[in-house]
Amino acid sequence: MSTLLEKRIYFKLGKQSLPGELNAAHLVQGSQVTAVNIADHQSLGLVKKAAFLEDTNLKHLDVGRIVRKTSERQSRWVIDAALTTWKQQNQNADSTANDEKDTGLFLGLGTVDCEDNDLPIPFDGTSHDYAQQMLIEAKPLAGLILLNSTTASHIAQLTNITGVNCVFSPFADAGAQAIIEAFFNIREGKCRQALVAAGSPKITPWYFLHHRDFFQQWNNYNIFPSESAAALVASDKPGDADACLITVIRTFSGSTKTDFPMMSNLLEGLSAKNIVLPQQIIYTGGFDIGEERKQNLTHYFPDNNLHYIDQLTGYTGAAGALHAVFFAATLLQEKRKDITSSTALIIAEGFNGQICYMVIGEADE
Amino acid sequence: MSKCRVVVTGMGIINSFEKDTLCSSKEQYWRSIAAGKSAVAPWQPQETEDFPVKYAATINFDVFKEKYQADLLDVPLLERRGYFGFVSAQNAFKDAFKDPKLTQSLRIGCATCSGVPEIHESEMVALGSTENYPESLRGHQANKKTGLQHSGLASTNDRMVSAIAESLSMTGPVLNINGACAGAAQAIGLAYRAIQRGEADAMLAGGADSVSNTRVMSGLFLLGATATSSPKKEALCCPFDQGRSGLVAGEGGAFLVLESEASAKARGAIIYAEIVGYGSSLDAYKVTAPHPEGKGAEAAITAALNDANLQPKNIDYINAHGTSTPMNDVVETQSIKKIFAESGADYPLVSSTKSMIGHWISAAAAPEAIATVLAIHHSLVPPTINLTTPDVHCDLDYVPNEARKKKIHYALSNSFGFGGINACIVFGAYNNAEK
Repeated sequence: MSTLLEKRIYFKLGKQSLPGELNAAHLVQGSQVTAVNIADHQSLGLVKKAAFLEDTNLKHLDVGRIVRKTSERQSRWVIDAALTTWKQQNQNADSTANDEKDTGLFLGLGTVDCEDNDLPIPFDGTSHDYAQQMLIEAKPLAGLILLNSTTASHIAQLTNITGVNCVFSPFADAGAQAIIEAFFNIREGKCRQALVAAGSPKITPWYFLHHRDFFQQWNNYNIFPSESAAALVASDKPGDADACLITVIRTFSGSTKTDFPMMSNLLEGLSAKNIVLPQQIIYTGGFDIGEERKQNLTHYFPDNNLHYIDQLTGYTGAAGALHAVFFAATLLQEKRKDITSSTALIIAEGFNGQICYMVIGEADE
Repeated sequence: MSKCRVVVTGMGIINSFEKDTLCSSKEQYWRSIAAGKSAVAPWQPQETEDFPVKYAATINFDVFKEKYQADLLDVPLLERRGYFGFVSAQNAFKDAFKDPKLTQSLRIGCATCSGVPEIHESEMVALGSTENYPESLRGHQANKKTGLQHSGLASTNDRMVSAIAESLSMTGPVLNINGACAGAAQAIGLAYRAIQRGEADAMLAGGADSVSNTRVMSGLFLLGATATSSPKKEALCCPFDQGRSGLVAGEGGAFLVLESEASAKARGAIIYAEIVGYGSSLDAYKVTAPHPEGKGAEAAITAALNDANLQPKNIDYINAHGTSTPMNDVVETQSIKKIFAESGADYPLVSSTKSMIGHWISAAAAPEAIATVLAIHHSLVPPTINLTTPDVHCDLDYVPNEARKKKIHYALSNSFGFGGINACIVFGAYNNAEK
């Protein structure tokens, strides 16, 4: 059964944090995030370059000490993007749209693998010594810092959002899952609007340990991981929205990744509703889809322009799906002569085979 | 759009009862909790002395690996909890689909949860300095065949869910959720909704967790969440008792097969119960403590009841979050009393499965969902054990120490996680009549 729904959901884009302060317009023009050299002992020899985002202490958002003490870098980037976006939204929106009980919170995050100091990868001693050291030197609130969901708790506390919620992780599909749950929950009346945010993991030796298999498969590419975050507000009201979400499908291909399962179902759904076929396809979750899958996409979308957003931003994990939405909205808003379709398809793929499709339209579509 | 009914057609569980034989099955699990047995036993981290946390409900991993050797043959490197989850998911699947051919035409997905990444302490101490780290890692990889790979390689959050999905050739939504101690409840809730709206015909939903390692147990201890020492010894996990002092960790894996009623009926499946409602909420209070008036808990219970289109008076039994921590048990009691008193309903029976199996942290809701489904199925409320002197602020009927016969039409399963992340599920006895 298709999940094509009658009601569209509208996006108001919020804050997007990329290294070098690049924005979606820069990316659409072809600019690329600048990566810097990274030492082998940091990257475990897996990549030569990486792009880093500056840490934030969140003081500019009047965030209190406990939140700062119970978060690490990747959490703070997402809090910063989400809170800035929420404040912008509240300045712009009419008061009736901001009942926090009617607001959902959906996040896509990486694996939180270590605290800010990136330790303790190395340890010189016995298991007994290690246990004793953990008890003495670990931060008292380390248990909370290492929980991904703590980021949601902080954002909820700082925005007073108390409604439906979920945190997904860790790859590019996770950011898309967050958007898709917001879409369904608004559509099904579980909330009227939702704050959606996603972030990349911070780049540490732990990160490379977790992503070893991912980066090993890109040996022949000039690739780099990147730190980033982004947020948007989804709602059932067009208002001054930047884009809309028309339909979604979630599926699983497994590790073989030879095709795009359920794509024909997506096309059937679009055709049944007389929705124009997407011409712009934005892929996140890797650096290339390979010739065979490119041919498959051309079969489904004969005149497509395929954009590998990770080649521009660097690999950003869960944040990639939100960057793709910002990119799609900007691309459609530009109304370039070579863009004849008013819809774009985002494909967000997890490393282990989770796939999300999202068809984005212009806000006034 | 009309929503389809969602039923439970399979269950699988790996738990810490019967440590020497590990005869884990839903039947054995039910016999143990219906009899009020405890799985809590003395525990210390590997090769460590004088660790302040001294009791837990853990699985003998050597017995587990031996017993499930065949099931784990082609499984990628997973965390300890991942193996528990993988086997329990396979068992749930076999329970639902006796003939695997029956699944070929179905769109099946999986929703599960993950907690803090696990790193074995024995590996932490073996790795040496940061500069030598790549070499140390390569050394561990070289020993792949003997199983000495670094566990950090396995701790990416979606390892378990993707291993399960891949092994069963799934084509539906595959989700990994981080929801603290409400993670598995959110996984079950989202799976329920995915079937309701037609994204899948069936979903494996549940979770697995293990915190029996120094890194995570230290984190829980430093948070002040764990019970440490007490004359209560194995009876340390005593929800709602005035002597409770914190959670006692447990570990394992538990999965349910949720299926559309149409699919289950078409293939003549055994239907154990039905899911009729789900709700989630956020405390928006403090990351370090639940809302003192239980507003988040109340909102999640209310959302689940509204979703089920039920009144409090319809609920016969609540499987409580019941952690044995001083704060949770009082706040949960207050929330239940408020909701039921305001609607004029009698208080339902309430019990805590954690009193017997410990707290499975992110996966806690999964064995508790199975306990709730089996309570409905057997018309028997499992007890809260180790409850001898109830806290004066905990004054509901917690079914102390002995199971009680009771026809259950609807039951609520509560999960209230660290940082105020709450999720509740309403289960109902399956009635064939059209709704």
